[in-house]
Amino acid sequence: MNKQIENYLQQLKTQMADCDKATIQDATADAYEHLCTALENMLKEDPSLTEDQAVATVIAEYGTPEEISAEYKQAENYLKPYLTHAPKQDTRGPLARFFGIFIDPAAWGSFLYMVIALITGVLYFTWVSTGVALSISLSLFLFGVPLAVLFILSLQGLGWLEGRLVEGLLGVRMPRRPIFFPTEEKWFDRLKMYLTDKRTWLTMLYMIVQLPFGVLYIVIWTVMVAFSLSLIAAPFAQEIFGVSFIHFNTGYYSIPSSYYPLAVLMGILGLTAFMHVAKWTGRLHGRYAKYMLVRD
Amino acid sequence: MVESLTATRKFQKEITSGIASLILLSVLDRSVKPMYGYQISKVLGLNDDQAPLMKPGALYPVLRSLEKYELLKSEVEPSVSGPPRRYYAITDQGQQSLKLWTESWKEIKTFVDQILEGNLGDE
Repeated sequence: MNKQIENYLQQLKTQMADCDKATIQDATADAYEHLCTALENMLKEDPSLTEDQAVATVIAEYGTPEEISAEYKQAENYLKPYLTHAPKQDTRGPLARFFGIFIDPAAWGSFLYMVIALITGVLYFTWVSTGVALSISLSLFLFGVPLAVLFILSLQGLGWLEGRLVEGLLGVRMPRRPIFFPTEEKWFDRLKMYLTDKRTWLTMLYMIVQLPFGVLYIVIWTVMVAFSLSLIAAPFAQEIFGVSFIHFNTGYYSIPSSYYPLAVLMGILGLTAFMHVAKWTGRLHGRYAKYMLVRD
Repeated sequence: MVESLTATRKFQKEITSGIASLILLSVLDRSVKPMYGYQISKVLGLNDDQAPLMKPGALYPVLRSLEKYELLKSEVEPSVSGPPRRYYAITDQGQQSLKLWTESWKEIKTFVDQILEGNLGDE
């Protein structure tokens, strides 16, 4: 990358230090795209210019880091993710707060994410393990290097996709643009650059660990939802359809009818409690995803 | 002198940041193909030497917020040299908003013109 452009991007980052990491990433990606395109065009239009002169003009036109940072900060105020966990004071009573979880979009977002995580987890895991195995074994041959580079590029794409999912369902602001690395000419140099970049490894680790996370989430989800719903449904199932509550080996166990209200109550409490668990799991996972996938 | 210049610049900035969305929607509505940031700044003449009303860099956050409100959609395409480019196109919703915004812009323009020409109230 051109030294001056690199300096400019660095200044922009410093200027935006108090912004959300994802916003910084968006702003630098936009600036990088614009400056490179503008530079290319300027050199084409006026071949007598040296690259240094052209870059200086292009940067001056684009706007100072202060100006650009101010524009992004202003825009960011209108761009809060839809499910942002609003820090506003909850004035409802404890009971309303507990059962109010059912109208909390953040809880439903996490509820859905816990199911989707298994599907994405399997996909990511398969992709990464296949990619790593192929890249390592084929790097013995010359054509393995471009393949490894393409694989790492695909990881960046997947990381971005996961970011969209996390932002949409968990309400954590993630980059809206994929990270762009400078494009070096030689495949081997690019590979070396990717391999020495922390982001590559953290993204890969995230993709692998997403599988156990997905399994864990779906297990908790299924057990909690199934158990709560069956408690709620037990009186109806027993009375109307004559199905007993527990089948264990050859034994059938039913809930005595005097315990019906208690069973339904337990079911409702269990489901409500699980919605809270889901919301907190989502919040934690969002933070973890941001830590792993968004890097300076 | 310097103070009045700063005030003028601040005034220009405030006005342009208000109408930037309208300008961008209109440019993309007229364009047949999706456009990327640099192309738009070229069309608007933001890269000319004389101090433009708006810096090219200020376009991008506006494009981004328009996309967030689903008035624009975008796609990333790789470029032969340099980083991939994000191409923006107007959505149906964007076209509807553009109509409404154009109407309100016309109303504002007539209102301000009337005031500046001193014609207010003597109909």
